[in-house]
Parts: sequence; C-alpha cells; structure tokens
Amino acid sequence: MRINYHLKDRLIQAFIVGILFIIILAYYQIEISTFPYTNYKMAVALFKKHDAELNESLVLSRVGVLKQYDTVVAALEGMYDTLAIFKKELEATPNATLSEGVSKLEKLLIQKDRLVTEFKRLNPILINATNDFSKVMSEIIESETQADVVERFSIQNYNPEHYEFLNKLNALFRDTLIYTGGTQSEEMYRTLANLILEIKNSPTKVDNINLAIQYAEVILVSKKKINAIEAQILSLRILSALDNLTHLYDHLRLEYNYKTNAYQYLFYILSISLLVIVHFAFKRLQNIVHKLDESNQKLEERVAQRTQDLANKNEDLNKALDDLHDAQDQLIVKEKMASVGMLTTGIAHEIKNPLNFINNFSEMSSTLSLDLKNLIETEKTHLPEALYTELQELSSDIESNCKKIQDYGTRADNIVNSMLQHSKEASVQKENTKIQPLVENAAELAIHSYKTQHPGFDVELQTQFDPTLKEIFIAPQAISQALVLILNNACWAISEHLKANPSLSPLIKITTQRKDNTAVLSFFDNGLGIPEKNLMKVFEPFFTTRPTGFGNTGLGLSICYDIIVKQHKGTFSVTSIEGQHTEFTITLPITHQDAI
Amino acid sequence: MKVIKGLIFFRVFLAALVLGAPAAFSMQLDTRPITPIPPNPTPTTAEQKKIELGRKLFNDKQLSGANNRSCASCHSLKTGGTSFTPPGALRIPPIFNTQYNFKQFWDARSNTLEAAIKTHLLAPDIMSFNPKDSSQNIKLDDIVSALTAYVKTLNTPNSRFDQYLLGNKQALTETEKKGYALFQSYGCISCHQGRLIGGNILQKYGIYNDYFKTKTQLKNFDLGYYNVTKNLNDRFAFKVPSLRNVALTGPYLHDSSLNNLESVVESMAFYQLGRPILKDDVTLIVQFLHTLTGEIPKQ
Repeated sequence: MRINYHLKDRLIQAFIVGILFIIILAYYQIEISTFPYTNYKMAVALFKKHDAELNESLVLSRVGVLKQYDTVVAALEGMYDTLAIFKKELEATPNATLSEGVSKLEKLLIQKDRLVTEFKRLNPILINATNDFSKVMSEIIESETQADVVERFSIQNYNPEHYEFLNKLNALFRDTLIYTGGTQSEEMYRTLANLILEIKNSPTKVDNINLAIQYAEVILVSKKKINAIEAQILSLRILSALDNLTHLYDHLRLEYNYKTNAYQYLFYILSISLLVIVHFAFKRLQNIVHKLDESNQKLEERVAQRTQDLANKNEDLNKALDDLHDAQDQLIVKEKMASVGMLTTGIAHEIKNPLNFINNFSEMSSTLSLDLKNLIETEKTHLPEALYTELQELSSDIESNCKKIQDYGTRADNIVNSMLQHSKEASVQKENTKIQPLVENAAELAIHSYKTQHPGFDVELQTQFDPTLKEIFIAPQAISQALVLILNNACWAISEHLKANPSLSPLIKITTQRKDNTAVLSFFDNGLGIPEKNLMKVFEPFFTTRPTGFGNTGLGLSICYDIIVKQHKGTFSVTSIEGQHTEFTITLPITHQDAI
Repeated sequence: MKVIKGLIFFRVFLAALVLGAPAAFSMQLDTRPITPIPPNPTPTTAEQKKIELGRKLFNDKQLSGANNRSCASCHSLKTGGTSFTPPGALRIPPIFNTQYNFKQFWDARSNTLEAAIKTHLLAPDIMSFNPKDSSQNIKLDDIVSALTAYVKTLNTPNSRFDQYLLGNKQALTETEKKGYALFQSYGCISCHQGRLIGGNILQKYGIYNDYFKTKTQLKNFDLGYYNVTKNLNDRFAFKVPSLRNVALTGPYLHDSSLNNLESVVESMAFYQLGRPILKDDVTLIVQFLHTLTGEIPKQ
C-alpha cells in the first residue's frame, strides 16, 4: 500500500507529538508528582512518640507521680491528630492496603482511648481509696494498739480473739498496700477477699472498721479492674501495627522509586530519540531546501534561456518587419511600374495611329516635294529667274520640313514601339535556354553596336560563368533585349566617365552564379555611377539622365524591369557608388516550375 | 505468654518508680495537680475578623430555628458563661475555658469543640438551626468555624489561684491555702485536676453511695456516658466538671439539684469519697473554690 506524502508527514507529526506527550508525562512522574505519602515517616514517629508519652503518663499517673490527666489527654489528642495526617493523605491518594493498615491502627487507638478513659475513671478512685484506707487503718491500728497495751497490763481482760482480729487488720493493711503496689497475683486477691470477709464476719468490732472494709473492697475491685485494663492496654499492639504500616509505606515508597526510575529511563531514552528524530528532520529539511535552491536555479536558467529565445525571436521579428518594409517598398515600386506600364501601353496605342498618318504623309510629302523640285528644274526655262529661285527655295524648305517631320515622326514611332513592347512581352514564349551563349551574344551585340555608333570607344569585357548553371527557363529574345539595354547603359556610363576621367581603363564585368534554384546574373561597370537619390528612380519609365535623341527614350530600364520582374518573376536590383561603379543584379528562377 | 506480659509491665513499673520523677521532668510534664489557664494569644487580623463574626453570631437570635434565642441566651457571659436551670433539669455547662475540656457535654458525646457547637446548633431541643433556612452565602461549617474561634477566646485566666500557682504566694489567704490543702488531702484533687480543675476525665457519680437510688424519677441524661457507649459500666459516668469560676456557675451538679457550694462539697464527700466531712473543712474548701474565679471576658 502506498501512503501519500501528506499522510506520512501527518503520521510523523503525530508520532513526535506522541513522544513529546510521553516525555512530559514521564517528567511529570519524575519531577512533579511526588510520593503521595511524604509525611508517613514523620507521622509514624509522631504516633510512636505520643504513644510513648501516653504510656509514660499512664504509668506515672498510676503511681501518683503525675497528679493530673492533661498530659494523657494531650497524648491521645496527639495520636488522633497524627492519625488524621494518615487519613488525609489517604483521602488524597486512596490505597486499599494502606486504608486497611490505618483503620487497624484507628481501631487500636479507639480501643486504647476507651481503656484509657476507663483507667482515668478508676485510677482516682483507687488512689483516693488507698489514701483513705491508709488513713482509716492507721487510725484504727493506732487506737487499737493503745488499747492492746492497756489490756496487756490487765491480764484478766486479755482477749485472744481481739488479738487475732488485730493481727488480721494488720495483715489486711499490709497486704492491701502491697497489692496496690503492683502485684497482680490472683492468689493475693483471693487471700485479701477472704481476709475482708473474715473481718466483716468477725464478732469483734472496732470503730470505723466498716469504712476501712469499704475502702479495702473498693481497692480490691478497682485494682483488679485497673490490672485488667493495664493488661488490655499492653495487649494492644499499636507498635506492631505501626511497624506493619511503616512496612506497607516503605513497600509503596520502593515501588514508587522503582516506577520513578523507570520513568526516568523512559524520559532519557525518549528525549534522546526525539533529539535524533529532530536531527534527521532537520537534515531532511536541509536537503529539501537544497533541492529547492537547485530547482530555483534551474528555473532561473530556464527563464534566462527563454528570455534569450524571446529576444532572438524579437530580433527575428524585427528583421522580418524590416524585410516586410523592404517588400512593401518593392511592392510599391512594382505597383507603380505596373500602372505606369499600363499607361504607357495605352498611350502608345492611341498615339500609334496618328503617328502612322504623320509618318506616311510626311514621307509622301517628301516624295512630292522632290517631284516638285524636279518639276521646277524641268520648267526652269519657262520660269522667270526670280520665280524660279523663289520656287527652288520654297521646295527646298518643304523638303527639309518634310525631312524633319519624318525624323521626329520616326523618333516618336520608336518611342511608341518601345512602349508597346510592355504589352507585347506577355505573349513571349519561354523555353529552356542555355544562359552562357545568350549572355555572350547580348554582350557582343551591345558593345559592338555602341562601338559602331561611337567611334574610338573601347571597353574590356570580363566574363565569369558558373559551370553548374547551364539552362534556365526563360524567353530568350526578351531577356536578350533586356541584357542589351543594360549593357548599352553601361557603355554610355563608361564613355561619360571617360570624358571626365580619360585615364580610366574601362571595364565591364559579367558574372553568372547559381544560388539554390535561381540564377544570379550581375553586370558591373566602372562607369559614372548613379547618384543615390536617383537609385530608386532608375526603373521608372521616362526617367533618364542621358541627353534626349540618339534613340534614347528613357524607357530602357523600365522595359528591362518589366521583362525580368513581371515576365520571369525574377528580381532586378541596382547598387552603385557615384563616380566609381554601378552593378545591376538579376536573379531568375531556373526551373519551369519555379517560373510559374 | 501472660508471664512475659506481666514481666514487661513489672519492668516498666519498676523503671517508672525509679525514673518516674526525672522522666516526668525530661518529658516536661507538669507534675503539679493543677496548672494555670494560659493567657489568650494575640489574634492575627484575619483571625480577629473571624472572632468578631463569631461574637456577632454568638449573640444572634437568628441562629435559632424560632429566632428566639442566641448562644448568649444560655451561655451568658454575665452569669459565668451559663444561666439558671431549675432543679432536675440538665445543668448548662459554662462556656468559659471550654476548649480545654477533653470532650464536650456532660456525657462527653462530642470529641471536639466544633462538633459540640454543630451539635448545639442542630439539636432540636437547643438551637434547632435549619441550615436550609439560612442564606446560601453562609454555610453551616463557616458559622461553626466562626463561633469556635470566638468561643476559644472566652477564657478566664489570672484567677487568684492561678496567680498563686504562678508564684504569688500572697494571692491566697491562709484560710484559702488551708482550703486548698484540704481539697488535696480529701482527694477532690484526684478528679478535679489539670488546667481546668476537672474536665479531662469521666467519673461515675456515686462511687461509694448510689446517688440515683434516691432520685424518684430518672431522666435519660442521668445515664451519662452510657448514652454514648451503651456500656452498662458507663452508666452514671459524667465528665468531671471544671471548677474554674465555680462560685459563679450554680446551681450545681448535672441535674442542677444543689444551689450552694457547701452542699455540693458535702455531696461529693458522701458519694465520691465515701466518708463524712467536717463542716469547718467544707467552709475552708468553699473559700478555696472562690479563688478559682478568673477574669471574665467582656461582652
């Protein structure tokens, strides 16, 4: 069975409380609860003392040394008071055996009290009777002895009976006094009783003899009673009862001591075990605190880790936000380009038709003006000189006007055609194309064409092709057109730069690189560079820094953008440092799937 | 066995004879037959209050069932701590010095003063006090305790005889001294001894002559200590009364039968000593008895 920890703790608590309780109990038994009958030794001693005093007082009273009974009363009262001590202690702590012993003692004491009361009643009678008897007898004997002396002188009056009577009286006097002196002989009692009877029955009478006999009888009876009482008092074994009681108390005392010792051992053992338990409990507590500390530390570490993670995430998020901002910028640019593209296409369509008329009719007018000139030459003769000259001048003017219309119309037509390419591009068919020849052809075409137009221009071309990049899924004509446009711009920038810095060694560097599933093409030139403020504008249509004319429409890069970004879902970006170099970077998805 | 007991007693007896007097001194026993009444101890404040309460209760008629008598009604301090009883009625013992009596009442039925007071209060023929009538605040035991404290102060020390005992030989006249000598030689002293000149033993009334034979009608109280023990030997045994203030406390004897001290002395000689006494000796003894009147406590 599994005990849950809570219950276990409770049990341990209860166990400790139990031990504490027992310790307190044991302590109570050892220190606080004393032996309940502490006074017994004193009480026994007191009782013995009072008993001894009582006995002594009785003996002294008996012989007449002590003439009063206050001491007897005091001794008895002392014994009763002492008995009350026993009883009081017993009442507080009852004990059957002790009660028996004490009640035995009490019975003996009450018996002794009764006997002493009887003794106190008889003793004065005996003492008075003895005194009176002595007095009366001495008076009798004195007077009778005097009579006897008188009689001895008159022989005839001599009475032997009277003489014998006197002897008997003497014997009575002597024997009674001896008897009162302490002898307890039954024989003497009988002799005396007989003697009293004889004297009573004797015909001879003397004065006061009845009184003497009365006292003698009282002496005899009370002495006998007192003897009996003394014998009874002696037979009361108060001391042995006390010894017995002491023995009982001693036994209890021993038992108590034994118990106290046992409790003392229990106390020590439990105290030590409690200490041990507390020690282990403390250790356990220490362990728990230690573990808590550890887990706390771990928790802190985890929190720090989490905080770090969060910070990282936050950073990522910030980065993402930045990316998002970039994307947004790009999107804005894209949208702008798209709308501008749409607009230019629309305008181009609308302008194309009138332009066709302008171009066609100007061409026709040019032809017609030529015809007119020829006619004038032919009719020279028929014409006055002045008119002729004037006509010739006019026809020349028309011719030159037509020529100009033709030139600018052609230019406008070029612009419109370029513009129209925006709409045309969507229909360009994509196919897997080897990139290296495409790039080489475009470079050759662009640079050669620029050289032809600008004699004396030369540029070094460096190429670096990634061998892993072979075919990509593109529309080759469109991409080729874009590359030509970019390189044409590069050539122009270099030639402009050369004007400012003739010592420059012109360089165009083309690299291709495969990056995951995209092809990265970069076009580097150490031309004039683009000012930073214009970097964002270069892809806008009609934005140009080149002088107008010379086939420049300001749509080149715009068209490139359409081709790369819109048609091929690639990216087109530029980095440049003004006066040093410019680098256009194109990324194109390689595979068909990616292209879609 | 009996022989041995006899031997033991004989030895004790011999020892007592030889060592008696010195032993008595060693025990600090007073070998004088009569000792003086000790002076009252000075009470503490608490005791004084208790005593004062006892004094009020002692004089309070509400303590009796019929609200018609107080302790002082019978034990008047003005009349020797007792009061008149007609001949044949149980004599009211004086209240003075009563704490020194070894037992209380004529028949010694109470062992202590407290018990005696309680018995007085509850006895239907004395106070017939009903504890249930009293206010709940006052318990019977408290009343008894207060009364006991008060009664213990009712002592009569410093009588002329006590002064004589304490060494003032001039306190008694020559005739009174003769009276004391006669009191001793006649044997009165055998029973009337100790501090109270009585009050510490029981004695049968009528040792040599039967007093109760002459009485026409025996009353229950005439049986004396028998009423306590129901032992025939104890018939007609009474506590020997104290002779202190005896000149004030007549009529005398347990049945109030005698009115003057002379007749009492004669009666005692006849019934208790068994012999006639000379008229002159009676006069001297009565003169001595008058010296036993001490200082009566004031109300």
